[in-house]
Amino acid sequence: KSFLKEKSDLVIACVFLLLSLFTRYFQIAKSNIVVWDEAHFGGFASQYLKHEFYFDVHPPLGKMLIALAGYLAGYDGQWDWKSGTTFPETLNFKRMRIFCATFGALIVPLAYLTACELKFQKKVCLLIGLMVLCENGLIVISKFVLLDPILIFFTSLSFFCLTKFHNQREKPFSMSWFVWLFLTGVSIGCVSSIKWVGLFAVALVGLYTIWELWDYLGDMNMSNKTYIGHWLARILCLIIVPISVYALNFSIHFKILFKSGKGDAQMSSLFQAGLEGIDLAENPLNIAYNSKVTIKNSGYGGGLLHSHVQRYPAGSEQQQVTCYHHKDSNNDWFIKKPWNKDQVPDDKIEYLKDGDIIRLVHVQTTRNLHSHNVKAPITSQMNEVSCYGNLTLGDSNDHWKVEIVDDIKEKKPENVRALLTRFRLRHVNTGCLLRSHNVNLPQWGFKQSEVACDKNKKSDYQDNNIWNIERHWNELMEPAPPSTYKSKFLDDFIDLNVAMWTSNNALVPDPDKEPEQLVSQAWQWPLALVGIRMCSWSDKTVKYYMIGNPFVWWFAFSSILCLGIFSLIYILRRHRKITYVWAKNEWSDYCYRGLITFGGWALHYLPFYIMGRVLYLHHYFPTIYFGIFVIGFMVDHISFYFKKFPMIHNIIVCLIGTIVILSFLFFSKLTYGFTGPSSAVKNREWISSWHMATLED
Amino acid sequence: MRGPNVLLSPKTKESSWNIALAAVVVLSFITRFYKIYEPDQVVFDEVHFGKFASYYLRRTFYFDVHPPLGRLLIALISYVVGYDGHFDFENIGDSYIDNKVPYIKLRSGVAIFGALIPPVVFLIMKNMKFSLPTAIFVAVMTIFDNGLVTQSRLILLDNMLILFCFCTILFWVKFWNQRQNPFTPKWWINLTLTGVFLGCTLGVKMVGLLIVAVIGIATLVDLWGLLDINRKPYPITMSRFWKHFCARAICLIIVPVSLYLSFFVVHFHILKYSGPGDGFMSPRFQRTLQGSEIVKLSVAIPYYANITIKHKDTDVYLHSHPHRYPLRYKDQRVSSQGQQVTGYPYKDENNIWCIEPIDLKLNGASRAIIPKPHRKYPDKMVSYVQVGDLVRLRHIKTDSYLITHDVASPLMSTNMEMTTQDKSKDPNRYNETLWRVELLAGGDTTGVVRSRGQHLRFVNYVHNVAIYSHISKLPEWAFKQQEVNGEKKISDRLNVWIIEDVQHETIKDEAETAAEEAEELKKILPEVKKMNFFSKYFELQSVMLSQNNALTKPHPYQSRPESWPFLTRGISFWENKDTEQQIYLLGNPFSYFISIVAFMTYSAVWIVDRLMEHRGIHQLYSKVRLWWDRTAGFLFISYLLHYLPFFIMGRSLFLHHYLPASIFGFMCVGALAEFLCLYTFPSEEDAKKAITIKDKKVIYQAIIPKYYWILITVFSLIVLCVFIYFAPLIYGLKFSSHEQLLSRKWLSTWDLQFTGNN
Repeated sequence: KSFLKEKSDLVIACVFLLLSLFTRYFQIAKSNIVVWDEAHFGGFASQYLKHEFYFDVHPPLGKMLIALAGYLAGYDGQWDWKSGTTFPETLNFKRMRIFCATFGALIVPLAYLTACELKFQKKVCLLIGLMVLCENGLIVISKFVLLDPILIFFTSLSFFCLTKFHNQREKPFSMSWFVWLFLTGVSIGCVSSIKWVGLFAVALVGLYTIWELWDYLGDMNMSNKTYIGHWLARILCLIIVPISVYALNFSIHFKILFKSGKGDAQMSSLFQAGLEGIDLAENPLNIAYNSKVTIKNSGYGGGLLHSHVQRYPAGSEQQQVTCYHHKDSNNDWFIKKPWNKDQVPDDKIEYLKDGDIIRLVHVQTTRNLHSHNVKAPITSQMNEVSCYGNLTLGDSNDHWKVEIVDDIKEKKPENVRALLTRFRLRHVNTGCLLRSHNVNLPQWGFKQSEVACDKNKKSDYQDNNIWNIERHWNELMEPAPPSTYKSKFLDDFIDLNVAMWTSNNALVPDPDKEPEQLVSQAWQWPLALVGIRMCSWSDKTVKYYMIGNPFVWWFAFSSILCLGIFSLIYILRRHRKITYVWAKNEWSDYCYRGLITFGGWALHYLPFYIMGRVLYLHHYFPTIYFGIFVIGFMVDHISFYFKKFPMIHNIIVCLIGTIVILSFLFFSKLTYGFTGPSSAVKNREWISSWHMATLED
Repeated sequence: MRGPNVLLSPKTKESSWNIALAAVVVLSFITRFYKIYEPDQVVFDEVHFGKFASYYLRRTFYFDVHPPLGRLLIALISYVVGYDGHFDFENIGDSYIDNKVPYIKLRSGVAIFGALIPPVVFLIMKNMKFSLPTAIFVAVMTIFDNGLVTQSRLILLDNMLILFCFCTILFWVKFWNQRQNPFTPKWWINLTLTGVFLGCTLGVKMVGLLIVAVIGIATLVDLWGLLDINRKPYPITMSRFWKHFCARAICLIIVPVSLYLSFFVVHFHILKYSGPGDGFMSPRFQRTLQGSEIVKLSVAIPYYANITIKHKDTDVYLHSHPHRYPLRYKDQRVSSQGQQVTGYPYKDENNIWCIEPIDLKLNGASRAIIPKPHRKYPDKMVSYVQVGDLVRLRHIKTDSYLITHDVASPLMSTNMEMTTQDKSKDPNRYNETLWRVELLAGGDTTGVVRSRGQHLRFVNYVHNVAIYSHISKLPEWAFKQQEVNGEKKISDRLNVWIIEDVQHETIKDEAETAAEEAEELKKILPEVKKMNFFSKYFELQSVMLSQNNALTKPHPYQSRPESWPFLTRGISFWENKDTEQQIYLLGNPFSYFISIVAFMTYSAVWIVDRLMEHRGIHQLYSKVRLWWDRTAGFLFISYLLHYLPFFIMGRSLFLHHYLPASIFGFMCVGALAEFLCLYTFPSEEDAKKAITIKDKKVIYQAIIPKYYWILITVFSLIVLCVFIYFAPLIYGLKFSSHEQLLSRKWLSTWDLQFTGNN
């Protein structure tokens, strides 16, 4: 019995877990079609199970866990996850969804335990658990094969670890202190390995740590040695550990994806050569005149030299030259002798040597790679590179000098060799270097990377100005002998992250192209003004409508306003020394809890205002998790005013709980899916912008 | 370290201050007025501001993104010097002498504002209780700053902006000095003048909001201090606090706002004739202007009238001609090969469309269109187009109807292609030729569609897209005319059209008909022409804001804020190819350099001192720290508030936006020098002398060390030398040789003219 009393929190947490597993698993397989973004993430799981290399803007942990779900469900990776199609018999999608829903269910006991760690009253802890349990949005997002439940789970885990760590303040450097500091580090590492928005959680932990270190700095009783110890412990656990976790995920990612796939072109040529089943192995070794080649930029995230029929809208208005990350025939170039020399006959081999002057002919359009004294379209201190003329027409501005930089196998290479040799292309007339960098052209250049000619004399050894031959075709030559290529993990890791960053920046989507009903604005979220139809809205499909429990959202918003008003009043009153009777640590507790819950909310919300990308409602879900804690904080705090009538406070807590449960039940039809005409849910459309029953398109 | 109880700034005779002030005024006027008659041509933005002055003098309505005070003052100067506003200031390099513009007087008038900046800065330093050498040095940096001098000598707004901005600071500082004697006349005067100059700064340019932020924050800090229960010598009561609060609310909010609005009253009062700015405003606004075309020529549109339709933002007419879209575009997309519909800027027979009613038998209309006899020509039956009607537009020359369909337009794959459909062909597509006429807010609301006076939208009945056009030109196959297509986003800014000419058998003369109809209208809507000041103001202000944000068109000399403190690029204002003369805006490189050093030192010292203090290691007297936070901190925060906000501004930015911040930077240099030499590291001898004890109070009377004067002199001389070295770029003088010009190019990124950059 005493055990139960001691561990009563854990028992309650287990009860919450059971309840939440029920709410998440209930009717999980009702819809047997691919719903919402399952199309994406199921597809990525397939890539892992097929071991084929792919490229995506998100880090790999979440997708690898989904792949694990697929593996556990016995899925072989052969299905294409097209949106809206019915799952095949062989694919046990229910098990995959259950896997993700488990993550989504674990946040409920975590929320309860976190509330206990924040030392809220027991009834408030229960209320917080209840609100997370009955949050329709968190439920509906957990019921499918998506990244979000995993992301939210690790976010809540980070928050839990942080509060747990805070409570070890009395006994620094003890075992449990280290354990929770370490676990905080691991969980922020995990959360940022799922999506980069996980960095908001990192920011919360970071700000808390800065505050703590500042606090210790003012503690005159602490020796300098102890203080430095605090620093070292945090550097180890909150910087080194998370980065290692992040890197470890990528290392596993590379280990699993050892076959060639759709994402190859984002990576360096050398990395690609190490993939199974790639055609680079058929490359003849030495490059010769008349060879057809593709040319890869050596910079991090560099693409293949590319040209297409579209012209520059300004400058010379000649044909565009860009760097492109997908393999297509517009990346192919012929190597030719310059205009003033005789061409090498088709049946002869003459190898390309260091210092040779060449002409590069674009295979598809027969134009020559060209540069001149015209400003590049974006980076205006450099010259423009274009494609000009044809097989017979051209001038000396088409001439480029090959300068070998290094070779992976040989020290002093004489010939240019596919994949192995890195070289510069110097424009003969102006002396500038062919360059590509992670600057995206506007829509007229299809957001491909800019290619320019760098006039700066000190940039000979910048990776962005260095190129290598990636694919090489020459009918006169045999493929190179099978050799093993090995790229360094660190290079691949940085390469992939730069590429992710670049394509993330290029993801400033065209508002015209996005379906208007799906996107939303950040200011609409706290008031729950929007919802999302997660699948087709025809009568026969099982329809899910993504919307939070509106009362929880409204309570959260009003609690935040109250928190602001209360704090302002308290600060002014303290300034005038008109204080309430605060118990000993009450004010500092108010500050700590208020700041950490509100800080979590603000850090997960305000950055969306400065993000240029398109926003969706589910971006607010980690935020509302913190919003629920702000509700808890305010409910806990107002008991201060009901000291004489604790009954009234109990009634308030019960009332909020009842409202939350009732509204959860009322909206559960949308959360658990419904069939039949959508007009049946007309009575739930409280706000016209919810459009859950509107009939248009 | 508790240190002294009282900190006093060094004593200097009042007469020395006065002599120094006189010298500052003289030097300042010399630098600003030197060769002000050169060049005798239009320079840089004189194109704009000279033009605006001309518009004021002609009293014709124009539009600009800035509030009117600065331009009103330029106009006032023009009026005083007797300029009549005949010149248009079309291009940089136009001759003033040939066009008989009294430009010397104009420039002198504006330069007075610029010449007053250094004295004001000097007075600020004095009132902030800085020592005389510091104040002189800061004034020297302000007098001999290339950027300020270049900007001050021309007909530009920035002089006034900067002068008003620093006057605000001056009076705020004076007000702050009076804080021990609240509600005395001096206190009230300084507080009111702060508010007045706040309003003036805001009235010149919207960036005046930055100084509002500075004063706002300073006021909050002030009020917070007043509210403090531990305030020395005694806490003030709440009722007295509210008195303080209300005084500030009146002087710092109500006074500036009413001043700001009063500038607009004057603006509207002067500009009473229709002019080049009409097009920016709503038809309702335009009606208030005399001689507006809208009043003269607006007629109700009868069905079967031949009309031309003009695109509001790009001034092209809806146009079609008997040429077809090419089957395949360059990006391999296919077209319908229908007849081209484009936008064409010139009058042409192919711009004429006949507006026709829909066939009631084929389609249920919203209202029955019943022709009635015309009131003037009773034998002719007419009916008028109503807002919300479905209409068809027939192209007269090719006898075909405007249509849109589910084919991507040539340039925008997200929009629908606009083409025409032969009269006879394919009755199934009848519905696709129907357009709903929608009226945007701001027009007359009698329900009848009128020409010129109304902003209209034409929305397709089937596809729900509006007729749209944008400045992109179609390729050769459409003779480089402008693209017109169907836009899904109905509320788009570029969907707005105006019906211009109307030909119909009942309209013999547009002006006459319009006059008759206006009489009729007056009977129905007597208030139609009136518009009160506030509606006018709010309309103009919202157009100003939206146009300001739309100023994103790249300018060859625009720059990003991060480059300003490092002075990596200037602006070419004017050039004369034959003599290789030029005016190039640059700051004084030396002053800019020491400003950065001062800023970094301040930040570093501040952070280190705070960390050490928190750890219980006190390096500064607490009074010195207070001075450091209050006095120097005020200048540093003002600097940051005048600089950082530019990072989040989306519009195109220029080096001259940094000028106000640069002066705060100079003041920071002075603050740092004073802090280091007078308060932190005084010589032992001086330190002993400085401390006296009186009435049980420890008084620290700062003493100016001798070396400080030498230091200040050396630095001032360097500033002066650098200024003179670059003077030819300021005054547009001729260099003695080309090599001399090349030697001024200290950074490769300074794109001086004639130095071989491209």
